[in-house]
Amino acid sequence: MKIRLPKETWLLIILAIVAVLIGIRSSIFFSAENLLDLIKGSTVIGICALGMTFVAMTGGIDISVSAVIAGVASIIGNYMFRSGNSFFNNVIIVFIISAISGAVFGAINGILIGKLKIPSIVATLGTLAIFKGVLFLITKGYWVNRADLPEWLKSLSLLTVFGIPIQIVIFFILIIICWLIMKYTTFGRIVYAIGGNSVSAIRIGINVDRVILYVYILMGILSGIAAFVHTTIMVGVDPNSFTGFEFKVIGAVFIGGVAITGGRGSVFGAVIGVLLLAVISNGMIIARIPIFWHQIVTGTVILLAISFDVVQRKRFESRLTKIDVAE
Amino acid sequence: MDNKCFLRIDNISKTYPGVKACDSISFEIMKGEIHALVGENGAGKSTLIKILAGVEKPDAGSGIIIDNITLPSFQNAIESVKKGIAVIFQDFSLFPNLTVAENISFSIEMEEGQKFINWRKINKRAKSSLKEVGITDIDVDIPLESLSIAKQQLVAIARALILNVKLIIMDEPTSSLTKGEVDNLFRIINELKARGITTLFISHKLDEVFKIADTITVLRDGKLIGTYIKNNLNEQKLISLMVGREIDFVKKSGSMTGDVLLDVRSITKKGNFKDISFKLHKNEILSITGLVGSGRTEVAKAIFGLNIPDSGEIYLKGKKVRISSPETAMKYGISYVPENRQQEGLIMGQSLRRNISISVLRQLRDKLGFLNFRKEKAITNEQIKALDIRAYSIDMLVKNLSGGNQQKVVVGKWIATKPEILIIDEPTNGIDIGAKAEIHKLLQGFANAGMGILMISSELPEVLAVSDKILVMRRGKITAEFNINEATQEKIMGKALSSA
Amino acid sequence: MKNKFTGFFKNQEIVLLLIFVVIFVILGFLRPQEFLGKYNLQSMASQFPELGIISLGMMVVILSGGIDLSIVSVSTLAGVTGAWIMTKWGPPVETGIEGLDRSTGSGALSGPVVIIIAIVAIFAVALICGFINGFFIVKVGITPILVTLATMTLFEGVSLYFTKGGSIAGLPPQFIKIANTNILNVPLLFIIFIVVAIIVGIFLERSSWGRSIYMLGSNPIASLFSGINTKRLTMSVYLFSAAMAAIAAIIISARYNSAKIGTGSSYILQSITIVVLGGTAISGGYGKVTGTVIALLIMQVLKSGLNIVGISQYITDIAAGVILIIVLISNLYIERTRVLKT
Repeated sequence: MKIRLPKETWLLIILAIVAVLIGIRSSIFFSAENLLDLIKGSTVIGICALGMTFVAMTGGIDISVSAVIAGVASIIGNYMFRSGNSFFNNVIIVFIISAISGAVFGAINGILIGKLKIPSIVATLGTLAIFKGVLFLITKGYWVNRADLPEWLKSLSLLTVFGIPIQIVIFFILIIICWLIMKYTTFGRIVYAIGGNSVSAIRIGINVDRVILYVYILMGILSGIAAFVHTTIMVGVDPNSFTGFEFKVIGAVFIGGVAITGGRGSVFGAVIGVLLLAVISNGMIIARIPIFWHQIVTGTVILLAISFDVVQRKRFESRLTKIDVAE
Repeated sequence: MDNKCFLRIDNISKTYPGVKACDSISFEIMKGEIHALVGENGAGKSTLIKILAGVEKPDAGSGIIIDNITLPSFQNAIESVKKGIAVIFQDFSLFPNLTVAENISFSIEMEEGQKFINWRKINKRAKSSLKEVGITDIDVDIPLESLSIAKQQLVAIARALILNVKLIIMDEPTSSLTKGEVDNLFRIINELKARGITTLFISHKLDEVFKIADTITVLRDGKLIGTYIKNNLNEQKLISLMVGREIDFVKKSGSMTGDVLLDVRSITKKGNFKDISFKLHKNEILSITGLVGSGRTEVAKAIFGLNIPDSGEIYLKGKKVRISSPETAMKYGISYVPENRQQEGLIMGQSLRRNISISVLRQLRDKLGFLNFRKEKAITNEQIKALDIRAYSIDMLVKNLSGGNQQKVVVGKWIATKPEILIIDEPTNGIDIGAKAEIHKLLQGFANAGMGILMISSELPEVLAVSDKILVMRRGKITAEFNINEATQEKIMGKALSSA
Repeated sequence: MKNKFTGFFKNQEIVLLLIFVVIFVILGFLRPQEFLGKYNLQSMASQFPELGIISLGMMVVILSGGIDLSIVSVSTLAGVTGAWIMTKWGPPVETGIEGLDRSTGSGALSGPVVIIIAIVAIFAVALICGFINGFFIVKVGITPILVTLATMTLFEGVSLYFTKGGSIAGLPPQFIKIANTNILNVPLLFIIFIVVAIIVGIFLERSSWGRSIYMLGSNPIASLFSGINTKRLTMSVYLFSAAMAAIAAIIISARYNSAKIGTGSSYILQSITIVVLGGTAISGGYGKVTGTVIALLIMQVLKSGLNIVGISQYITDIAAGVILIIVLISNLYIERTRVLKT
């Protein structure tokens, strides 16, 4: 009969299988350089996916993430450019600016969705446009070039800890933090509770509106940090480079097992989802599959993963007995 | 009020638009007793419970006397909890995706203002709470939804215990339990009693009531009939207390019924109903009655294509048919007026005329295929006249109509399809007595004109007034079939309840 | 019995019309020659048909209680397919693109023939996409947001495969004429749009299909219980939006004499804004074509007007987002006060 393993374990198995298949096809895949590159390349999506997990857990969605990231990236890019050699142009301050600007964006979403009760899909569709618009207005689409950025950034981008790029380290730390929040704080459990049964949550006295606000602020902070990490990778800021980003994040989170209605899923699942997509992408590159196929494959994988999840859920629900039929 | 009384319900009334759910109910619940609340569907039990839970507010003039203080009501659920009352509704109000331990400890953790979760502490707390009710074999670290309903219920009780409960109220606690699980639950209730915790529970299962309760309070039609010590009653007496009343409607005096319209043979659906067979004739009103949860609506939906059976056959006028969707059912001349008027029967945000015409849109088409508004108006007015629907405009939204008129709109929608078989589920639920009689008259009119009506109802007077034949269901099966001449309320109730 | 003031929505169209007139007048006052000049009017009138048709498609889907985020991708894919067919088998044409003097048309088929084939293909491709959407929504049961979010990227991926990121250009002259023809000084595209809008309006108001969509959007369960085949209806809605996408594809490729990814990427948001601004409830069940059309005009006039006055184009995007949110918030408040009154 079907073995009842947690979804995350299944995903890990699938990830391993796919990785092995690709590795067989091409030995480059398992080289340390490739693997590190792969993970480093998925950190930005990964950090956003952490935030998106919280959002999806409450049953919501945040389509504005691409604009938020682009926005924060532009903000810090411009800041670093403008402040030139000033003392205040250092990693800590820039990091804090990233987090705070992200939080502001997130708060806007949180107020619209939590307090004003606008459905998250439309609210974030709207803020996507607004943020993007404001962004372009300010930056006029200009890049911030490598040359205009401070030295410490350039060094930071190459920094490694025991051979592991700093970006991966940051990502890892954030995974742990988010996992801790989800598992060990009341806030995290409340997020779970709201997703599981929002009516009961209100009955117990949970302030659902406020929690939703915090969830979107958290999402914003993480998006801001992701922007920071992105800037350290690219050492440059191109506001245009984030189109289609939100889809990858959402796709990864849902592959990772978060149910659409919320209440189920985990941080690890989302991370595995991100890695799975990254591995598939990487695999396609190594296998010399033309880049035009990538989007098709990714889109199909995500569609199938969601289908699988929905069908399973429906089968589970129909099995719940309603009437205690006499023998 | 003496010291042994925990809570006194004082003159509690609750009126909803059109119906008085509770009418000046007064009785006492003693400390440490096991108190059963019985009555038919609609007797007022659930409403009373909701008031005690702080989820509903009673009318002015009502009082809850607890700790020698008289309160007009509980302001909210939290206040009721603070007074030591824990209500376990039929849905348990738990979180399926959180662990057992979390479900038990959540409220208290929040009350204590904890910011961080100490899993060991939570698990320990949960384990000890479960141990208090004698449960040692539930793993507290697994998601709640992986437990059986019986175990989930025990978790709900454990949660109540951790909040220092003095009165546990349970609504139909044994409806989803096996016999062994029921015995276990009773053992726990007795242990609670030994610790001075009072239990109040609603139940339809009279044999269980007699097994465990000390005191039994009977409600009927929103009024208190009396509070009795168990030993002074037996099942027979109890049933007659529950149903004995003046019958407001004249009992039907049998009429000629025609050919067989619907022949249902042994339909079965797992988790819904088993081996259901009956025949519905022209000119006949056949009622299916029984308790809520006995599977009646499931059977009705099966005939309407919403709940396809796993096995069995359905014959329509002698021909075997497979009803796979409401659209198909409609084509076969079957209509269904659902139990949940507002969610399933009507589209509340749309107008009267649109609700009436929705099932006959195809017939309203003119030569070019467009909807003929004049025809739509005509059909709407026709139904308004035939059913005496009181509305000030056919464009008004149905949500602004009274319950009785809303029901008539649903009926009108289906009558417009000129059905041969009408299935109607709880036809007068939440409707005042005047409108009830009107709807009964309508049903009888339809039957006389040739329709076969399958009526599902929990209201015995209604069933006796309108039916030609009565089927009683219990736990998914048909337990009895009565002709109108031989049926009495007591007989029906006896077959509907869980008795030998 | 037509009560003029029943319901909020009848009033909303009048309010929208007023807003449109006000903006029009203000802009006409500020820059009379440019704004009211024939060139501008004609230019405006040929710009919004594609957005308008997409908005109509989106409107019907939203009315039914769903949403179609893939509509633009479908349009792009259909357009790309059509362009590919026309440039592969049609007459060689000057493309006017750097590095590609003449298209690679083999000239195997004459202009008109290849155009017809291409148009058939455009519709076929679009309908297949619509069917895919419908399949996952109806048969598998995934919520429309996620399905169309996924298919949006999937379809774009397929387009990417055909265009390799570039554009397919050099369409037969007869085809391009669609975009350039004026009938009595009115652009043909505008007429096409008006005709489509009228047809859609009639269908929504007066056909059983349209009526069923309103009911479905208002309460899918009660609709099912009333005998409506909700599965078939939902599928038809997504096929419809695909058909609209196909028409838009024809218009867009005719106007730009090419097909590529990226045209109309902002149309999704704009169309949703237009639909909501025009009075259609985001949850479905209410809305009128006239409202959508007026909202479309408002957006168009704002865009052109702001352009003429010299305000940056990016403001339009911001404006669209802001308007969307303001409309949603105000709708919610109005809904709440209405509920309290009854």
